[in-house]
Amino acid sequence: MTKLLKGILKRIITSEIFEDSKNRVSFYKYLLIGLFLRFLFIPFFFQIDILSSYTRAAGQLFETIPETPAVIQLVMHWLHVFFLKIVVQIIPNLKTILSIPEPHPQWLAFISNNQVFRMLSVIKFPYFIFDLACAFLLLRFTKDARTNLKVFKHWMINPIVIFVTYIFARFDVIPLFITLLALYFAMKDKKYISIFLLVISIVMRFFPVLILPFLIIYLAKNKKDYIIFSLLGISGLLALEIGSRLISGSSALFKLLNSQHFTFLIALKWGMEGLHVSLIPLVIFFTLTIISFFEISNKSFSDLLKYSLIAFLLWFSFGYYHPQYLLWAIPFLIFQFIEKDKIFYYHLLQILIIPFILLYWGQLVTSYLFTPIDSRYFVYFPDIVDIIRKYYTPSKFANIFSSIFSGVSIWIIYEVYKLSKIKSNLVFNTKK
Amino acid sequence: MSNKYKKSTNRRINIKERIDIKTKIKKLLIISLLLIVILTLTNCGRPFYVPGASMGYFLWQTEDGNYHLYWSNDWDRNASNDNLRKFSGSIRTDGVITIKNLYLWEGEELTKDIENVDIIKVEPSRVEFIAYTTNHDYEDGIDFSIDNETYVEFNLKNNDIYDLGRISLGSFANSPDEEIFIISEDELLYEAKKPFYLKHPFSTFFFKLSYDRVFTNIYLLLMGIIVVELIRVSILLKSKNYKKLIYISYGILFLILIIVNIILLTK
Repeated sequence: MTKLLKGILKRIITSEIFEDSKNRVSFYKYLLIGLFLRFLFIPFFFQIDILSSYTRAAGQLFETIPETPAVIQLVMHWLHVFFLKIVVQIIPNLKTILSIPEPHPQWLAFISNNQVFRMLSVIKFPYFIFDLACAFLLLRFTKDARTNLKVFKHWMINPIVIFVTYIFARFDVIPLFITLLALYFAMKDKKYISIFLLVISIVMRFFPVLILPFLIIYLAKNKKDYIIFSLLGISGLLALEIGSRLISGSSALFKLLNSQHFTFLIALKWGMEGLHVSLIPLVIFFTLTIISFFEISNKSFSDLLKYSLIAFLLWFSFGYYHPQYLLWAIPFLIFQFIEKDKIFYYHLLQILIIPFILLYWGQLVTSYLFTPIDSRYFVYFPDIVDIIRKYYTPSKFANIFSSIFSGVSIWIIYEVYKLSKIKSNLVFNTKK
Repeated sequence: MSNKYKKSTNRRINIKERIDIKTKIKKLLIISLLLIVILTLTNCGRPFYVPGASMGYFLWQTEDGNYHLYWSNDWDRNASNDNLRKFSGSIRTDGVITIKNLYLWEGEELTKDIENVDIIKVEPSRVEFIAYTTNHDYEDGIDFSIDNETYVEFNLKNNDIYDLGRISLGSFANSPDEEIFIISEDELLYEAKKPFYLKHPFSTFFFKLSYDRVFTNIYLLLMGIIVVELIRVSILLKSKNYKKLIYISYGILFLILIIVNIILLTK
């Protein structure tokens, strides 16, 4: 029995860590700290979006509210239907709450319920599983056990990971895990699996589309590869389009192009005086980044991670984003912390700035997050935006910090770009 | 040689002193942060509110026996009519009311140009008022005392409707259960003096934990094991009495769980 357990543990945490007592203790310590931080927030904090995801799932499962989710959310929708089918057995009164048709009364019924802590723990549990899956997958990227442990540590204690997954309670960690899996197989030179997984994650959350060009360039060895991978890359979106036309008779892709998700990326424009023409900075810099990556003669896996990070940071510097999207940069950033300490300190600066940027969304991301603890107290708690308004315009206030965040992000891009010009000290588990 | 020894000893002492100072600063910071959080959340003496950011009525009593009924509106740029809000109501008692002060009151005698003047009608055992707040005048209040009262009855309306959630009695979010509510003698003083764990938000938090005992037990057990294991790996592993200390740590954890369960069962 112990032998079997040891075998399983060795498989999960890798033999390099399991067989070295010092590494084993460090791993255990980081895991415990990470778990402690997660459990501290899981039952007590919440943002209304998670309730919307489960309400749509309940509509599907119990035919309560006939609401069809947007096509781009279909995969995540079905995952929530699956989660709900399991969790509703543990908390039957969740079904009653999810069948309340109006969002506001539903929210009030949920936060004031005496079993809200249990409900939150259960509905966030799937995210917790995928979060741990990300952490254990990150343990496998380099050949050096100490480096893997550092990566693991940075993931387990990263405030953005904890905020997005457990306080803000968004599902981004699920498609992020699929993206990481795609990168893992790219590292192992399993080209088709890698592209296929990235396509799945794009269908789940759209934003991994930013790293698709880099993955194709990294994996392709010749023109034929470029054509096949590009076709595979867009196949997921095409499948979605065909499926959407067959099921609902309308286009998914054009809906997507007109949706918020796409607008987030192209919102900032440089207008030209007197002309109906404007340039989109994110597209300009993104194109430059792709060309720059293409021009590297011996592309390493480390370069792929660096350029993918640059793509996400460009988005956060020149595009519009919701707080949960910041999670997408974290796995890529973590590897850079190990190469250069300085980047970690710049990331800390970003973390310090984020609470000020959150002011854009007012009570939804401030006092309302605490409402499960005491609904009456935190619903009526004064809005921090109103307090700031007494002294200064809140939007200007948030914009100043958002711009500082962009400045720090651009500096990180510069540091990462400089790093890409020298040989990486990380030895990845590649087959190349 | 002795000089070198002295220097290295001094350096060691300096490092130790610096570490001690750092630890002291850390402790001070943690304690003051905890105090700020507890004070902000519970606020001794009067309900916590920020004029212009909090909306509703705030009623409290001070040690001198005086009552303070204040109301505030939250600033809203997009609201029509300069965010005009009407606060109206009455106070009734079997004692004698004396008005001590009208806080930021825009009465007829104060300003003649004001469109919506604040009005107060005072009788020995009854006070009626109508007051308005806007984005520019977001707070008003009445300070008063009552002699020989056995009860005080309040009837407070917000834009002509009852909004009980927005009435705080003695401490923030301690709202009345009925539209026309009665305050007995020193009830507000008692509410203000309650320990923090009996006030919002802690009272509701602990109530929810005590209601869902299964969750609370599993949660405490999990968190307890994590903490004990962290202590084991970080501190106890180096100790000579490792085994003994482990038993003691887990013993303490189970003792805490038993105590918590006894408290939950007796509540």
